[in-house]
Amino acid sequence: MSLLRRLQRLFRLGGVESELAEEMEFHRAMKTRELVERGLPESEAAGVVAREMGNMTTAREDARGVWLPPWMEGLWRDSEYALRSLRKQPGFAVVAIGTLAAAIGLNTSVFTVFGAVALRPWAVREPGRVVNVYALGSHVPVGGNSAMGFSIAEARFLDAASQTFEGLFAMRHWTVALGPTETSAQPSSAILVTANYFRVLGIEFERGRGFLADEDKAGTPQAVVVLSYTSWQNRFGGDSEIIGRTAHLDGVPFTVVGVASRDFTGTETLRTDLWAPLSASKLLRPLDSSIGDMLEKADYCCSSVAGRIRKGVPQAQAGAELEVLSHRFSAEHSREANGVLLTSTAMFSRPGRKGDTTAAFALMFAAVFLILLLACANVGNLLIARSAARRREIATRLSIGASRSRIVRQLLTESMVMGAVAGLAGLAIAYVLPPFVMARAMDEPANFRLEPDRAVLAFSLGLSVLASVLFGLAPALHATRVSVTALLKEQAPGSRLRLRSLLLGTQIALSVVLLVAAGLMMRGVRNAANRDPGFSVGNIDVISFELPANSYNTARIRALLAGLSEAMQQTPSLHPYGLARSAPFANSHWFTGIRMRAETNDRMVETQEVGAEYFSLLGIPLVCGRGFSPSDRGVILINETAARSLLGGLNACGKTVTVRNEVRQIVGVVKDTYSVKIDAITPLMYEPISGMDMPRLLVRQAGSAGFQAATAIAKRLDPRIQVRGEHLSAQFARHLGPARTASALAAMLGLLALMLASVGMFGVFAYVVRQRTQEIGIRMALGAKPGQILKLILGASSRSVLGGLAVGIVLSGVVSRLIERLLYGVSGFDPISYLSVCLILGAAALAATWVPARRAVRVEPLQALRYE
Amino acid sequence: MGTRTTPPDLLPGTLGMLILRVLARGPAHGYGIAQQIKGISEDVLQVGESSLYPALQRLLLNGWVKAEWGASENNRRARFYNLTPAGRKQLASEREEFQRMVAAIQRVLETA
Repeated sequence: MSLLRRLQRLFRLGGVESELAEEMEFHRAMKTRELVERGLPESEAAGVVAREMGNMTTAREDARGVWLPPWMEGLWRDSEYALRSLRKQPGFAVVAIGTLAAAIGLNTSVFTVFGAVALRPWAVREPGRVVNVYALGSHVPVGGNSAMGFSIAEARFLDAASQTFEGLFAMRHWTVALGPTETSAQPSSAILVTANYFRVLGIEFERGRGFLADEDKAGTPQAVVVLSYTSWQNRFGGDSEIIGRTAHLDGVPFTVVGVASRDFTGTETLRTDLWAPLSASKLLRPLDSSIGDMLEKADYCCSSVAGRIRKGVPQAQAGAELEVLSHRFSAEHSREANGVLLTSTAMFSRPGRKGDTTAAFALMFAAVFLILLLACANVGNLLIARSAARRREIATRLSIGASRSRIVRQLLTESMVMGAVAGLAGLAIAYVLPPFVMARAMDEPANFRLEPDRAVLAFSLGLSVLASVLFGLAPALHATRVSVTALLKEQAPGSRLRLRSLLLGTQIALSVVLLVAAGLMMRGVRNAANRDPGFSVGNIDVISFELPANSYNTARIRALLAGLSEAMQQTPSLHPYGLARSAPFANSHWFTGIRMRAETNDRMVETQEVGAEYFSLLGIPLVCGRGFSPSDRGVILINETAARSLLGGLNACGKTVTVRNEVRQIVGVVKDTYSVKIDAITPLMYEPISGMDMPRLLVRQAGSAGFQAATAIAKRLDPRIQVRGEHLSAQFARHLGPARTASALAAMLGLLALMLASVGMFGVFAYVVRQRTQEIGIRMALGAKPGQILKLILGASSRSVLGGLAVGIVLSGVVSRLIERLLYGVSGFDPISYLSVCLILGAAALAATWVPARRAVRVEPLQALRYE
Repeated sequence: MGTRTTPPDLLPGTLGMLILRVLARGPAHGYGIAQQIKGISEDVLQVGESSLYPALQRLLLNGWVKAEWGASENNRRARFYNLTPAGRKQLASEREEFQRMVAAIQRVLETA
């Protein structure tokens, strides 16, 4: 409280002083009047009062001192002085503060994203007690973790039986078409939940309510829906009478019972548009027989489960209880028992996410921290140059008795003031930059809020202080470690140049590292984009059919496919064509358990369903055996990598394996292609089209005529089918999107580093020229040629430039090993990248030298000699 | 007349209490406070400006008094100090403490 009042005062210190002065002047006047009234002549009275009141200034300072402890006052004075001297050199201030602000802004931005993506739990009441619950299976898939969800039946059992949890709920993420009418519906992100979801999470409602227990009974499904605030606003125009109105989900009318509060955007990585009870999935997929199993079977895997632990119950105890309960449930249903894992709801804590997230963020933090170091070196260099200009001022202050520590404190305060201003600007950058970049890096609205929070504030504050000390301490110590007499005589101390050269070398080394990394990443993306994936991409069109989900099941999809291929036979513009469950490079992946007949444990292998013509259409050759025929069921094909890793050799044709507990014959092995990911070939199993969902139609050179023909055929078969078309190359571009964004960011950092290094080099060269103007003048007077002068200037710093380059290249070698995974096959020692970085830095060095060098050779000998 | 400030026998820490007591009678400006202390104590206690104003600032800092600008009796701009509820409480407790002290000292003096 009293500190608050002190600070309030501090900001109007001038006001306090004038108030005090006025007050004491009034006192003096009153006293004088009193004496005059007693009969003293006015002139004499004034003298008496003056004597009696003593030194008014001292009294005033005493009074002011009450408010301001001396250290605070010193700080205040130093800061004021610093601001004044910064204002006097606006160019220096802009460059130095701008550089620091950019660096702090970048660091704070990365921290903001890290906090929002990795560390922030769900936006629910008391998120500390809410945990994700995972079953730990005994089968660990290839390269993965064994954490998985529970059956809905088990989740309900756990919720009913647990004493340590306030409640546990199950949820499944679906995509459904949502709109006020069937025709206005748009694909939306839905979470199907058990009825207790909102209650357990403690969600408030903008309108209406959450789900009632009766609304989530598998036997009597209810068509009720809760909208997110955003979809209420955007899809339903913020209708204030929304409760009780109808919303269409995949063409089925649902009643809106609630609108969630604005802050709650769901419990998935994508923003959620709506919630519906799990049992309502029966209404959404009336023809799908597996829905009944999903809702009721004890071993239907897997729904995500989360819950809220009771207050005061340790997490370990809650986990132990769930494990006991889960074992009991497994025993009752004669299943293999699983372990139980509880984690916080922050992304960083989810199993399998930690490694990736850590690596990605470590890399980003490293890069932006290098930028910060670079900026500090740069500003440090500028400060040294500036303190050269202030030598006389500092020497004078030293000689009239200021202690060295007093001046170091003064100089450090100046750094802190700069750091503080830069920190504020950096914070502003962190407000704007992350949403801007994320909006470009993600094509769907992600479920995290990127506003900097208190941790971010603390981070940027800490960073500003750290930076201020980093760039301010060395120059401050340096500026004061001089003999007063030497300074007053304007003699150049050589050690200052040494420190500058060291800083310059560091800068160049750091920018080499950043530039090489950026160059390698850009070459990697280009490499990937130009890579031959092993099949034709260029002229393939992908046509997708969206079926009204509530009226199709596997049998109907098969019937539709039969009708489709019959019609296609008579449409030459759609030839040749092939079918695939997902197009190459698509974002959806399926994995299937597969094992050799002798093995007991499944191995999870990526699976693709394709039609008979798929391989010939894409030009993927067979290594042995045959491809699919239209009538094939119960046979599979695998790629070479799968043949090698599963069967230890390529002569797999004709062998049998166990897939989903059924025996399957491998009728053929196809050549490896980069059809799943462009950077790696993984084991891949092909199965015939099952009709589980509608496959994509791949057509060579369909063009708009082919697309229209396909649309016409589909509409003839079922007018409700929506048809979309896209080039396979567009899908490929999307696949490379994140890598492109990453390399663009790296390039941006590299450019920033280059700019900083150039400014740094310019500063050093300019300093050398200024320092040696007199010497140059004498040399010129004695007949030195401009070339010799140039050599003199360049020679002074060439060692640090070359040294920095060498150290930078060695460091880059180390760093590039770390990022090799991101390089799409470009070697970490790619000579072109290194060579071009050297050339770019060389050019920058030349450019940075140009102006100072010209100034040097134009030195007028006479003027230079008069400089003294 | 020398440059006498606070009489040396004014117990340390009592100035703040005296000011608070004077202000308990009503708002006053610095000069007025000094005058009142002098008058009531029949010229025994004379408060110098060099201790009065720092003491007033300390009271402000602690939130025991508030200051407002107003017109003095001769219509000059003067800064008037006013007791806050916290100040009133402080006065009561300081007063009690002081009286306990004085009584104790008295007892010692009388018995010894």
